[in-house]
Amino acid sequence: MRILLVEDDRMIGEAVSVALRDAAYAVDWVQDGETALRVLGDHEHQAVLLDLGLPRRDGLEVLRKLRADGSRLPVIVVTARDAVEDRIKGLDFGADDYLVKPFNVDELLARMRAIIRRQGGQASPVLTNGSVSLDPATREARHGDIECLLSAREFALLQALLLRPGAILTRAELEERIYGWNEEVESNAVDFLIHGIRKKLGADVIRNVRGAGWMVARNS
Amino acid sequence: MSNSLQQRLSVWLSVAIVIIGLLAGGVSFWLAYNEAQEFQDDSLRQIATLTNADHLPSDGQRSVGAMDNDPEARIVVQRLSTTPATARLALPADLTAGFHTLDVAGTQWRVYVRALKSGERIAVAQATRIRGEAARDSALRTLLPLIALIPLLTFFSRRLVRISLAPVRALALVADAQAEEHPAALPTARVPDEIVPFVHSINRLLERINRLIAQQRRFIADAAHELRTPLTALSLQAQNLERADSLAACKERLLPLKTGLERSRHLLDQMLSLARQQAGTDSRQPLDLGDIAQTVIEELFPFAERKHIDLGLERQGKIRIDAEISAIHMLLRNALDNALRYTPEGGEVTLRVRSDEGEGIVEVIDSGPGVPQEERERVFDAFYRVPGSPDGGSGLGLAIVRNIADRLGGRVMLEARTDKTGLVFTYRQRLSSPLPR
Repeated sequence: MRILLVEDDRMIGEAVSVALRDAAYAVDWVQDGETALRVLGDHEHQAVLLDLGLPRRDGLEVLRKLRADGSRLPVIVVTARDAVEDRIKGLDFGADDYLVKPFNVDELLARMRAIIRRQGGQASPVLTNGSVSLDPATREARHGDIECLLSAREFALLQALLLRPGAILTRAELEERIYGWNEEVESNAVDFLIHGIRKKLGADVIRNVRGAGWMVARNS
Repeated sequence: MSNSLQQRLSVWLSVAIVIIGLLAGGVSFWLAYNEAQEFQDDSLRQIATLTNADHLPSDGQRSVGAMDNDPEARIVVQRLSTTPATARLALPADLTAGFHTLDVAGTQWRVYVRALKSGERIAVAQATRIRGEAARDSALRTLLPLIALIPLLTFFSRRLVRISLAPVRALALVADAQAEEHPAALPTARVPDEIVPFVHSINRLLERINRLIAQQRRFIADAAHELRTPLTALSLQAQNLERADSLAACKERLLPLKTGLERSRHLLDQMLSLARQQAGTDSRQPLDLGDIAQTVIEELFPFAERKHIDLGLERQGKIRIDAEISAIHMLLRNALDNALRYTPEGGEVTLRVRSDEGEGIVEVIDSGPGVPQEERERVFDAFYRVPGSPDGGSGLGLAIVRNIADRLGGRVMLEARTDKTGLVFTYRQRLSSPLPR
């Protein structure tokens, strides 16, 4: 799961990046609205964490432009403006949720999970295709009788597959969802992570389509 | 005497009315009295003229106009030649023609002496007591309306004052009813012309207070907002630290937390010094700008050295201005700190102290990126930062500088460097007047 973080304050940007990476998200961080819009045009991200007080282009403007372009990307607005009108404006401009500074990391993560879940059309917090289930809050995976805790990257990979059961994701697509821009991607990282997941949950959890990529079975 | 305008006006008007009334009464009394006297003298003269010696009885005397048995109430007519012993009135025989006031047997008489054709002289006399009483009575009657006027005038003057001041009382009610967080201007309609300038002054004061309140309110809102940023960073950094799973990760995550704490401390320091400058106690003394500049350079030299910035001082002679040491020190420190902060590594910053046209001048010349023309005023606003500038600054440095400059009566200015890229910060203040030798 790859997140775009738009935050002009260096310290907050760094701290949020660390917190999100700890929670197995791939994070790209930009510091102004102009750059944010340009990056969002590439459709690399699955969610946006958007600060409102931004140089060059205000956060609300970024949001309006994004929605005007027809994007349905989940957006959480982060603001130091706690006036009710500001929050209402944020939601009216098309934000899926908002957070008021200073906020708690756990709250941020819970809201992230919630909007991603809603984006996948699921009401339950647990991602599942019927045979494999994954709890984003605890990173616990279950397959039949087997229950185990996944590492951050393993979780990110399985989550990417479970969000669209039956769809094939290429190596590049998987890498994109697991790693941020400035993270070094080892050449066989995806193979290594899939091997780890299969070892924990069983070989039939993730299927390989030769020459195409990987998938989890569609809910039957 | 009380400060009540109404009471004062009433009392003084009453006093003035009484005094003028008494004076006027006295004068009219005196005039009426004299007139009555003259009138009575005329009566005596007429009686004398009408009296013929033949009409007088043999004893040469007669009393006329007696209304009662009081002998003194009568007008006595007698021959002067009559032997004093038998005469009604013992008048001296040698009285000349005309009016006399005489004391006869213990009573005062007014006497008119007339020489007849026959050579005889007659005297017409009347006791002065009677004349006086009559004159006084008629004079007193002229006083009556005046005496009645005094309480009436007092009453009406009080009413008038009360009515005239009613709009002022109404104004006070309006002022009392104002909301203290945003007092509106007082209305001048129906206010007496004499009070209008005062109301205008009050309104100007209210306007200034309103501006100040708005400014303070904005500052508090901005300050609260500004505090959220480092606080957010701190709480996130602390939570990141909590999740660290190794000692190495702990150490790695402790570093930004420490930086965050340092930044919060700096922000609080700046807020406090701004508050202190705004409260400012004024204890000025003549001081040398060059000395202060040198102290500031000493303090900030380590920072400049870390960034490999060539920091220098240019000063000429003694440049004396009147200021508080702490304030001017704070001003120069913030200006220099700003220059060092925004000048890239390996740059150059010069502090120049000089005087020109009776003003002491400090210039901070840096080789940084400068500030765009349109931002040069706004950077003096509290919490304003040029977009895209490196963070870590409180956004208060130049606001503090502007505040101090305003208080000391100096001027601050930002200009682009003319010889190359960079910014020149200038502070100007009138030199202290030369000490008397």
